[in-house]
Amino acid sequence: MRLELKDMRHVYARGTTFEVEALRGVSVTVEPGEVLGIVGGMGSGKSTLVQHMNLLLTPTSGEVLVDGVDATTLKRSDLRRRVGLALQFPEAALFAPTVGEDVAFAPRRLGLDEGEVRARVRDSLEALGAGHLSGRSPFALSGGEKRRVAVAGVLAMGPEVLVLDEPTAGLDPAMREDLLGLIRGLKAAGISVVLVSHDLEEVAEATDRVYVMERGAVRAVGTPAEVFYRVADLAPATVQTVLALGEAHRGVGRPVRFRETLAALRTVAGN
Amino acid sequence: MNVSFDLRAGEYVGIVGPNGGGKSTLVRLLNGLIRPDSGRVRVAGYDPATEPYEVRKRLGVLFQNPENGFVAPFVEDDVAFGLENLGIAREEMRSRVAEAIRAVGLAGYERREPHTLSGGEKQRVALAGFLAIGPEILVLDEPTSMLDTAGRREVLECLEALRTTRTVLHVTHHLEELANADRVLVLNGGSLVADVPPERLLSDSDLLRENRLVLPTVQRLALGLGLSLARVRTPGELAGAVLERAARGAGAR
Repeated sequence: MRLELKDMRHVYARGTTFEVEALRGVSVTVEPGEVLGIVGGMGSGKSTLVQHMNLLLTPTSGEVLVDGVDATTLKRSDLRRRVGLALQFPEAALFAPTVGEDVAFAPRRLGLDEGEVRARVRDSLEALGAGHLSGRSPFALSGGEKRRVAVAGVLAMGPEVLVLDEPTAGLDPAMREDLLGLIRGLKAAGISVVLVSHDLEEVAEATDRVYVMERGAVRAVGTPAEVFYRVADLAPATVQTVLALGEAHRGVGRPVRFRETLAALRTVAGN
Repeated sequence: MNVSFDLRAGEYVGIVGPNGGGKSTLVRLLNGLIRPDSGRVRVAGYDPATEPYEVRKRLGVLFQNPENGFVAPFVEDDVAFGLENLGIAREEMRSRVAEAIRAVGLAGYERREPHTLSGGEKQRVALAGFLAIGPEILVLDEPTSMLDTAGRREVLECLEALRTTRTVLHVTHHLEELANADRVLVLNGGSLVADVPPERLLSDSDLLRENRLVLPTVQRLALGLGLSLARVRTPGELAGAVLERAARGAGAR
């Protein structure tokens, strides 16, 4: 699926003293099968932007296009199935007596037969490394386990685009490695991923393209190398290290990911 | 959870460990939000389960999410909120609030509305609220994990300045934040599995792996290059070490 947001504006609490223009004309395209990163400071509009991707929020003005078709003309339930949104702290919405029941809730409402529902529950829990939790109560899990279960619930809908809003916030750093594995698997299955994160290293490792948001507008867009070498205040530690080499970094290109950076530093050090 | 440890006055102690390891439970036991099933917690001699108000005057907890704590329309009123409940005289309150706001580097923000602040600024306002009350012990429960890079740097600099005069217990997933800690406790599965200086933790790859701890990028790059972790803490230092080795190699050839 190709998902386009065109010239989106969003004003919260319009006409009151609390009026805030959260998006000021933002255009974003999610290409089929790509992993797109969205970064930017708190309050830059990242979460507001992605909540327009399945029309959870209605824009004040602007258009959402799904493969060129105006998303407002699509059946809302189809749109929400095709564009899955894992909000920040999605574990807040867990409710069922067991993990398996919780993940099954949405796919069951699609009218799938019970065998298909069970297969989806199993596959999506396994993709999140949470297969062993199926019979447990979601309320007796750790924070990291709850997050996995909640994301599995979105994945079980079989989305073509999966939006993850701060999926690792507040979790242990090993969760980042698990997330990178999940994203690689989704990409291999042809599912597009939108990753909203303030963890620049996570974005540097996982994404094909990056949008940088600032005060409700797009400040920069490009490959991770294009963006992080241009917007120095957002550079992850890998890029900061290469930039700190000064003149000596000219010959090593613009590595961003860990492995590329390690190889480049080895070249410079001469071993 | 089954844990025993002592925190000495003036110490700076880090707490790390995987999700579900018991870090948040420990913090809640310390300020009396929950009670132990068995065992004893004492904060400056007081039991948080039976005398939470005495404990909370002496021990402040800075939580993860900067959005959750605001109660007042302006920064200075928010900072004053805790004091109002302690029955402190108005003049005394004014000077304490002004001093606390200055200590976190937010002088001039007194009449700002909290919702107009950045994440880092919000956490510093929350911190000023504690400083006004003047607790001897500060408990930081992942205070930077919701912040962007700039906000993290602001809050860490602010904490670095404050820790010299206080006892600090700092829960975090970011090992690089604990480089200056006196010691680091590792909690996993509800047990205390290690109590070590930060340098020891960073160089013990088994201890790190068993507890789902991941070295910061700079340290992982340094290990990959065979450089000493003690000398290389920042991207600048890493680049310097790489260039030094290149120069030595060129000299030898």
